[in-house]
Amino acid sequence: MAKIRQEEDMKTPVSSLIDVVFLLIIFFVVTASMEEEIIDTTISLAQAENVEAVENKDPLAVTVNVKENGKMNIATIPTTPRNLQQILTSQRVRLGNSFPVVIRAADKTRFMHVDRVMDSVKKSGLYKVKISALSEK
Amino acid sequence: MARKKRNLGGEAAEPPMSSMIDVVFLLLIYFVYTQKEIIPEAHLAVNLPGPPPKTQTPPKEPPPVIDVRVLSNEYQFMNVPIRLSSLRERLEQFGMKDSDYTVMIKTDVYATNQRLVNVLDACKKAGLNSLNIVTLY
Repeated sequence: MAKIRQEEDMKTPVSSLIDVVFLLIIFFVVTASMEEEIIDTTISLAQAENVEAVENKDPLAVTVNVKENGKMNIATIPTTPRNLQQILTSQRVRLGNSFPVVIRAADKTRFMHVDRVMDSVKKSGLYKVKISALSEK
Repeated sequence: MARKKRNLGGEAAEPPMSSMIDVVFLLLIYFVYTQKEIIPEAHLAVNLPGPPPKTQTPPKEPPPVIDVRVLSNEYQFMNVPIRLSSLRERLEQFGMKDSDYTVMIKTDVYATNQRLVNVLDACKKAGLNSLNIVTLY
């Protein structure tokens, strides 16, 4: 009888373990940012030494990713300058001129590719853009 | 005997903890694996060439303009080739005098995005916020 009681005492507290693991899962689910889906993490951004990182990004911002070879995408969906212009024009009609356009170009991307994005922005009637860089501050 | 049967019946009603732990650990591994580090991104705001803002009273004097060129192999300040470190110093001197200076950044289509970001970063450090990008073809 004493032996049985000792074996029962030796059991791992499974319910506490599950509690801890569930807490960890909840943490990861809450902190898993949906933003990662919008930005193309394969792009190696240019580095800026003196500008602070943006903490709260504008949810209305249209982020355009421009790869080194000039291919562009929005939320990892490939797009063309003409498509981009249409998207921005429809956004401008809906939201006005206040929403920002963020260009996430790779550090080695030639300016001609960035200029294509800027040209689409201008043609859609917008004149302000933000160029994204990796903050080292 | 009756007590023993009751105990057996009670044990059979317990949920299968080991399978549950397996599933929970798989979930945990998934979330740990898909967790991505947050990229500290800085946004450098620039203006594109476009129609002037509609103001009723035009300014008496046009704002002073600093001309910076970003070429594929060099930087130029007021049409004079300059090193990046010297360019930073010159911009800081202008920024200390008056932060209302407009910086006209003329960028060659073959210049890389990193070179443009270097100049934008230097302007921000100097406190110059009116930055305009023009494309050099």
